[in-house]
Amino acid sequence: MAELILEIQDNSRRNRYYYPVESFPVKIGRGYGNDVIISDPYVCPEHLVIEKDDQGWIVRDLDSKNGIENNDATTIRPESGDSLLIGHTRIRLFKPDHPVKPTQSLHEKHNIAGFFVGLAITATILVLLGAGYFIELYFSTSVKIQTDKLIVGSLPVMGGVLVWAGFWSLLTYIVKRKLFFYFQLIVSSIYILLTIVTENLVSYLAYNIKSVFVIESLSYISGGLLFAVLLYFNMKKALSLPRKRQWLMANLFSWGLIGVSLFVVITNQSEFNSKPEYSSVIKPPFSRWVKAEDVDTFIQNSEKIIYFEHKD
Amino acid sequence: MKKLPEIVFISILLLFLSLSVSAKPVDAEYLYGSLKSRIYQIQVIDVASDKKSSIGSGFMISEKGLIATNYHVISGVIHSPEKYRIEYLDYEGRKGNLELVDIDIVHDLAIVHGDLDDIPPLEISVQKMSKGAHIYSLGNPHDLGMTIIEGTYNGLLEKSLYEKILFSGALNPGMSGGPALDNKGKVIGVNVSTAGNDLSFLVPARYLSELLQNLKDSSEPVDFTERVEQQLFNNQQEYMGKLLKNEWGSMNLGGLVLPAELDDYFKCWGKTDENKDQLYNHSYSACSSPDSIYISSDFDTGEIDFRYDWFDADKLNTLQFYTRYSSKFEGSFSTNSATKEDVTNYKCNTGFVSLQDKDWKVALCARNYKDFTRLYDLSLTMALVSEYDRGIVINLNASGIAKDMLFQFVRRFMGDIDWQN
Repeated sequence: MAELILEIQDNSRRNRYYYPVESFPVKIGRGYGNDVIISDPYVCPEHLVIEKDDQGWIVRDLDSKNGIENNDATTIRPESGDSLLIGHTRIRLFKPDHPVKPTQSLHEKHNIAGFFVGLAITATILVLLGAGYFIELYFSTSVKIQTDKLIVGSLPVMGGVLVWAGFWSLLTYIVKRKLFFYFQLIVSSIYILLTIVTENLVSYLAYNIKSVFVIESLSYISGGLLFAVLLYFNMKKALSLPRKRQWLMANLFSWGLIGVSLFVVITNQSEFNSKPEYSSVIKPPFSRWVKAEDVDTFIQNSEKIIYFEHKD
Repeated sequence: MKKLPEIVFISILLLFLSLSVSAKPVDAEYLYGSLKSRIYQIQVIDVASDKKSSIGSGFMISEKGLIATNYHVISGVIHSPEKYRIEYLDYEGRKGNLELVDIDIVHDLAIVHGDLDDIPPLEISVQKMSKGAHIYSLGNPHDLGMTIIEGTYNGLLEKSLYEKILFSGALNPGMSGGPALDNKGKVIGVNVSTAGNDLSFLVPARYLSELLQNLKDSSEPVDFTERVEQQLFNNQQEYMGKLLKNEWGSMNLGGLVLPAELDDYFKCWGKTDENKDQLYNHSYSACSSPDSIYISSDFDTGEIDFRYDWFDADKLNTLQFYTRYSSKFEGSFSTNSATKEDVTNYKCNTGFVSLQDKDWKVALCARNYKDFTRLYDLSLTMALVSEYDRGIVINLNASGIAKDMLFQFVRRFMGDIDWQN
């Protein structure tokens, strides 16, 4: 009976190969003299060796060029189910008695009850999101609007979230043959709700802060950060990349998008503004922490608005 | 002996008849015929294309070839002397160059000079006239040819910062700068603007007379930009100085006592929203000075206007109310359509100010005139922020005022806001 089962996943993560190991040491590398041969250009001809002693398995790096990712040590003691990344190839180690998931019924796919449970979960998440957005709309209206119109007003956001979650689920399915639709739906809904909360927090800050630049910067920074977090979680399920790389990619994409939109805004912005630009938010009295000045002090502080700019 | 009284009677009758004939008001035909040689079309010529870019009218006011017109007719030459020049066109189609001699930007007058010696000038009359008198205006409307219009003198505008004659006659574009004459053919005013429907305005002739008397030695080159700035500066010192000394009129709105007619010439009006779907109450009042000074086609100055928007939450909760209220604080308006060639961007100071134990959020902004650096446009926006269910947004704009006047005006305006007992 095999003492160790090696699961090898290539770069695409779509193909898995299993090698039962009956005797140690097991040499793994790209060279043909290995026990397990891996066709990955980032793996060395002799990359690592797995040995066994009284305490369990020992993985030794054979002074390979790219090492074992996420692990600076040259010797690792993995447990059953742990994975090692060498080059672009993932190796998982299993004991023969490692537990497996219960058997799925051939008829489960057509289970109508399951379908309705899924539908109910989706609906609940969307209703929660809609409720959040409904509250936001409710507090920003000042004319008589029927509740159904407010609900209709929340529909585009719900639709948007569904499309976004659907896109990531599809991507996950292509890569991993799994959907994780509810996860993507929950993540996207939380993102929208957090965006509403953050925008409100920034506007309360804006009420107290004089600088338009600081407010706009805060708005962009919070927007960029939230979107990066959303992308990170979206990618976490869809792609099997190391965390650091996922976080880097999410940030690159989010800040890249912010950068492009800022560039478009700045290049289209007229140098001349015929209207005064100032921090124009007003909030109820409870949200103010800045003390009021007397008129004379305010006017004295306003001397700075007087300046000359000679015509070219 | 018997015939003597008859002879005397006939002689007296003849004398009276002859006198009444000589005193009979001249008609438009006679006036036009006798004065047409002294009226000109004034053309501002685009140097690059050698075509006229704007037209107006003008008339001879001295034997030395001085012609009067409006400042706004020839203003292009002051702002872009390299792009434009001025020409006259007389009734016989003769053309010639004109040079700018002096201006009065406040009253929209200009004097130009051409090689037109020996043309008798029109006489200027500064005599008072009675309402209802027939007067005649000459000019070249829409470049259609020299025209004479008969109308009625309706006195000086009663509520106006700058004196203007109300002329009930149809002035049209192109007639600006032309003379308005009494029935003796004397100049009593200069055509300047129209509000349509026979409502037209003339600059009283006394301002032209003053400008003519104060003409400087023409050999000295004049920096017209500097001259415009000086005139605008002096003018605002005068009227702002008077405003600051005035006892201001007041109005009540939502429990507040607020500045209203700052002088006789200010006009105020108000309105309350009638939208039944609206869950809050909103009323506004606005006041403005109707006079402005033309600097260039898109740049007027010398205006003051302010507006109060009162809000009462009524059926809205505090958060809903403040969302609506806040949107008004963003919407500061400016009546001045100056471009980036004329003014800098606004620079603002925002903060919370305490007035009569109530707190306000205030944005005080100013922008500088690029050519006339002693002058600024002011924009003050303030909103009451110490109440949960009501508020007022105040917008005050004043254009073309100097730094000291700006701050004194803001100080006085804010100081005059009070609460009803």
